[in-house]
Amino acid sequence: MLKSVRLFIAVFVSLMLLAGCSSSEGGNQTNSANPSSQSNASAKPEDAPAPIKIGVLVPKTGKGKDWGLKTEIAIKIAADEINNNGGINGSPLELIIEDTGGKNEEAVTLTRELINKDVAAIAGPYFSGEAEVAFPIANKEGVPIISSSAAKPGITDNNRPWAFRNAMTNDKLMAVTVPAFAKYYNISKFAIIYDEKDAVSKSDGTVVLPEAIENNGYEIINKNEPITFKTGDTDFSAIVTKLKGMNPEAIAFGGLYQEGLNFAKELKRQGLHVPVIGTVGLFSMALLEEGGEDVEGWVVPSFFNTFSKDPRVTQFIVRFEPEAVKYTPNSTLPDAFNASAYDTMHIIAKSLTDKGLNGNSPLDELRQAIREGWEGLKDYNGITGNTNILENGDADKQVYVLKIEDGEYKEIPY
Amino acid sequence: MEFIQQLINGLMQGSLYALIAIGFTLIFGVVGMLNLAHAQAFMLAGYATYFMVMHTPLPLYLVFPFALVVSSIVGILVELICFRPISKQFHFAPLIATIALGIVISETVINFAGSDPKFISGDLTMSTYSFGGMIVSSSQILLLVITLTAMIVLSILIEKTKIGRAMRTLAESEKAAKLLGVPINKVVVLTFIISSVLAGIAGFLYTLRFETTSPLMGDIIGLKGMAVMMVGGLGSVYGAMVAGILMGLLEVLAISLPFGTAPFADAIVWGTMILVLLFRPSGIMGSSTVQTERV
Repeated sequence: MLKSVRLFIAVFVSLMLLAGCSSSEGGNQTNSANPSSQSNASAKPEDAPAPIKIGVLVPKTGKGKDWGLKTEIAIKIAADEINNNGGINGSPLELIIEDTGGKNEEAVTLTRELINKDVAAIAGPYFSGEAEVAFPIANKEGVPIISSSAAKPGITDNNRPWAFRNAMTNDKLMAVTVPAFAKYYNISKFAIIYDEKDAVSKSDGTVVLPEAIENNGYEIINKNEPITFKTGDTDFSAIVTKLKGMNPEAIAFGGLYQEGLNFAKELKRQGLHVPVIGTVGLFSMALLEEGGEDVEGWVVPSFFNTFSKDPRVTQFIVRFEPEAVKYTPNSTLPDAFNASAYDTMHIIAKSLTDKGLNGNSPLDELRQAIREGWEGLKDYNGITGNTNILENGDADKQVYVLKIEDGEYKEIPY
Repeated sequence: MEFIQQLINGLMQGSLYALIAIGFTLIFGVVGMLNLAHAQAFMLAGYATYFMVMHTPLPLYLVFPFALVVSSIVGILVELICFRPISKQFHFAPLIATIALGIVISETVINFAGSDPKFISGDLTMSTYSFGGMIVSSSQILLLVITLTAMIVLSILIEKTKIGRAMRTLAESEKAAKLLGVPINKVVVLTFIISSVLAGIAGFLYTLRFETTSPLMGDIIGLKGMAVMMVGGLGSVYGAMVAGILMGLLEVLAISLPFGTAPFADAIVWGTMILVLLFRPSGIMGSSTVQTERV
């Protein structure tokens, strides 16, 4: 009896230790973006301006780990570039990177923590759900907070004037992408299927896609008979059999790329060969890399083209890939959210540089300058193309309609 | 024709649920407790299959036993860590320990292999057969054949062999088993191995069928397996087989009926389960005595 209790305690303790190890690995870290820039800064004379702290919220553990780690890479590359170019009027950027684990509660706690650490701005959080709870806190405390990925409409509207979004919401993307897709393939009849468990995908399937299709004069053949699946589903056999019976000219897919890949495999298996259009959730480098010929001809919207020939994009990718290969060896190219996170850092830096501020300026002035920089942003030309900030804090970015062809995303004109 | 194709779809998915549920019910029948790390044995077998297919030139008939070995190791670990050291009088301790071990396994996989699902690309082109408009792939045929074989072998094992008799004696009463000289520890470990081999078969077949594997793939299917076990009747292997296939068929039916019921597919499936349990609390094939003795 005593022995078994001891054993249990031993097991329990080792379990706790194991759990402790894994969580401490993903724990927070303070990190001056580049070790070399740090040594540069310390080599400067005594009166060198203090660093400017920028908080970063990304999921580095849990469901969004791979996405978060890649976003972190993009942010570090941008901070490196800024610091290597003399920083912000002499002040280096210092990143305080925190791991939300993709959890809303964590996003709240960490937003407070970052504000208490006197950051000038917060880049993040990653998910719409996190942004919905983190934005109000930063807005109340008067700290600029900018998500480069949250895609749910309306999040910034409720948190004026401090919250911004450097990403396009799906309604704006699809208004352009649906007609471009229909014209390209010469089709008019769509069947819609969507993920009812994922908040953004559900709004895509029930609002965004139907509006984009019908406003452009096309027809939805399963309007009264919604077809749905759930995040994590792998068995699409029943859905594809049903779709086959409906004879659609095209399929509009409201879901993320993981389920998209499972869906693609089943389409091929049952021999249903029709063009597929997705929302931004489907756009991912992994869709290309893992999908192969199963996803050939699929169309997705994006506000970044990874295969652009713009030298700034290619340069970014040259720096991105060697880092990404450490975390996701099968998927090393940046996606739109990584690219917009990169642009976000540069826009933050530009807002401060333009006002002639540095780390010695009062914190309030730094925060105010960043907010004003975002609020008035017009025709900023970054690696994601042209960016304007609208009155509600959302970005109006260039839309790329991308078709998968020979394992690459190619732009369709519109 | 579409209807028959849907029946085939449901049958395939149902066999997977049945395989998982039998694993659950076997442990419950013999040890009287739930093993909530069962889904992780399924998941690791999936990863083992993915790894061997993508990174080694081994043929599938060698990948298969490897996946089973991996899942058996999980089963043995669960028994040694979560059940054996903990005294029988603490009902919840082993249960919680299996949840904890399951999380440790999942987190470890996420940290080493990443959170995103992995897809088997190109290397596994399995042929598809078409019968008068219906499509069946060789992975589906394999799924059906292996599942049926596993069920038959398991029935023979339980009904006709010495180890099966020992398992049944232990299920009836641990005291009686001890008196009869049944080597209890050995039988329990063997039960865990058989249970996780079944999960391993499911993991292998799932990965071949859907050409994908993910650290979370066991979560939903594990929950469904547990529900199938309840509906089939706690501790009833045959009940789990029947209920698993019924669940697969019901799911497909909810999606395929032309009444706009697809978004409610899960609600229909789980709602039906509540109905079954209301009218037959012991499950389709469970005897009421098993329930009262065990719970």
